[in-house]
Amino acid sequence: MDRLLRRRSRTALLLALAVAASPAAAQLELGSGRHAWSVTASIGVPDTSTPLAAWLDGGTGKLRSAAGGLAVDRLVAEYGGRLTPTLEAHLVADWLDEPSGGLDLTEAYLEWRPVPKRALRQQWRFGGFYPRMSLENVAPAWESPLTASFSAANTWLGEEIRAFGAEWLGRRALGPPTAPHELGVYAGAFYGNDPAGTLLFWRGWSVHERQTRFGDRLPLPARPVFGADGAIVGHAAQTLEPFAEIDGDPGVYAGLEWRLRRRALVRLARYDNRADPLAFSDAQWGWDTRFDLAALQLELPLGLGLVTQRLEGRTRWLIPPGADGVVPPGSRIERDDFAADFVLLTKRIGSRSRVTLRHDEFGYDRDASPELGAIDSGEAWAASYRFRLSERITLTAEWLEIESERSLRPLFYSLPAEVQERQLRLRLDLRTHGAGGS
Amino acid sequence: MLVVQTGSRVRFPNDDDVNHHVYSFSSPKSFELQLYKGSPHAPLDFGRPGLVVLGCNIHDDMLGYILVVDTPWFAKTGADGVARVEDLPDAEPLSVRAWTPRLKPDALPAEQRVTLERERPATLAFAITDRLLPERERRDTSLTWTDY
Repeated sequence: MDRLLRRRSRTALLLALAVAASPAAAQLELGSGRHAWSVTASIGVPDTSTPLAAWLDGGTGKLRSAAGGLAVDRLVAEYGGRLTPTLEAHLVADWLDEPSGGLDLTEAYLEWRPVPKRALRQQWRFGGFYPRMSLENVAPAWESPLTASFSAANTWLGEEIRAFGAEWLGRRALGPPTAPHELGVYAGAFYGNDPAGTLLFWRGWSVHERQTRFGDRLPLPARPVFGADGAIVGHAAQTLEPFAEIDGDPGVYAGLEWRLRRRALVRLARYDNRADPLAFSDAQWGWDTRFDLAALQLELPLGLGLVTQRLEGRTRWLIPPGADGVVPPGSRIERDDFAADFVLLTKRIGSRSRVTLRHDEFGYDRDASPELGAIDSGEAWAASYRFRLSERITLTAEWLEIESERSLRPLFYSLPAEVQERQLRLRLDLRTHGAGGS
Repeated sequence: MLVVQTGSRVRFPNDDDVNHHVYSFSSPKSFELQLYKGSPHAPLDFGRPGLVVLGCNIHDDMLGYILVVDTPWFAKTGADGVARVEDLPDAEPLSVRAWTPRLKPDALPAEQRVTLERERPATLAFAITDRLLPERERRDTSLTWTDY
């Protein structure tokens, strides 16, 4: 009995349940400290072939830049701070090498994970953040862990979609804690984001990795000015602040997730900015934009991974939009439909490199005006090779080809409707990070 | 996975170099050890029998079990599936139960009874016929699986 009593007195338990192969986190992990930060510089050397001016220069090109030569694609700083054992603050700040670049935030939020009282695990976010949508942008600072550029669908989310509000997420295993199936539901309510959709009409879909910062004012292709006979008599410059709040009403989104271990993940979501297309503020009109998203992430045989996502929606907006906020006589609210999807296959080669092939399709049209044809339609291919030289240095070589047909190009700008754009890019990511406090 | 007798005290040292926030909402012992490294928390009493499932509020993937049994006679099997219980009383009928987190309670092997003869070891075999519930996956995958 002595032995039993000894055993009874004290028993040690090691919670050394190490997570194998430490999966990448969507945000900076705090580890053991109270503060953590990282700075990443992405330096790109593109070789670009396009007949169009880049959209950041007011053109309708689908690439981020029409120029070649070395450029800083992104200089991003992330900060994570633990305020209480269950509350964390997260900030992501971008410095951009652009005329109106400088430093601004792309995300700033508090994340609260209350300790579960039952099988349901809850997570709240408050602040400015990406709605839970993309299955591609799952690396810190909303980067893709697979490629340099994002799919057309997610490029648009990075350009025009952000929530300034609150999000709730609840997840639970279906069955005992080891059950292979997990179900998640989430919902968010937000302000801002009333002009979302503007860029899709005026410029169309694009494929790059630039993320709009909170205060960014983006160039749009110039608006044609029509004379009395309907002919274009000139063009007026216009800009976009995609995160402006215009009508004072919140937007909403909600989604559903099902996961089968680390093998399959399905996400279904709907976003609706509930903007009033007759509301105007600060040189911006509301665009009533809603979309549905369906996404799947799947482990395939032969070590292949598949990610596919479809985004399909509509926007309602005022045509023609009066520049001064006055609804012009004879104007009407048009409904446009848009969709973009992609499929990507990825394979890790050894522990350091990865190849990824992605195919995108996108479209934007107006049923009420079939004579307009394809307002925007096309497809893109991306092939990327990524090599992780060390914890701090990653190299990416990416080939990108976009074919598009866009009726607005000849109609508004005397440019060809059908265009092929290509880009070969080498990118170097340099990352440094640190932590403090305990 | 740990088996202890009712009334045992259990320490939860964290030897990792990241913080953990251990909790359980199981009815025999509901508790929370706020974010820590090392051994800042006093041992906890496990005074009621039953299964205590442990989680970490920082790392959703982590899972642990403490089975609290109302008997001094218990053992955990090794990798070979063999458990040895010693110092048992002779000449009394004993009931023996096997448990694993990887079977639903209704699929656990039936209880067996044995009466030991003086100084003579007995061997009992428990056969698992149902399919085991999956283990927590530790697979190296081609994709990144974040937030889970």
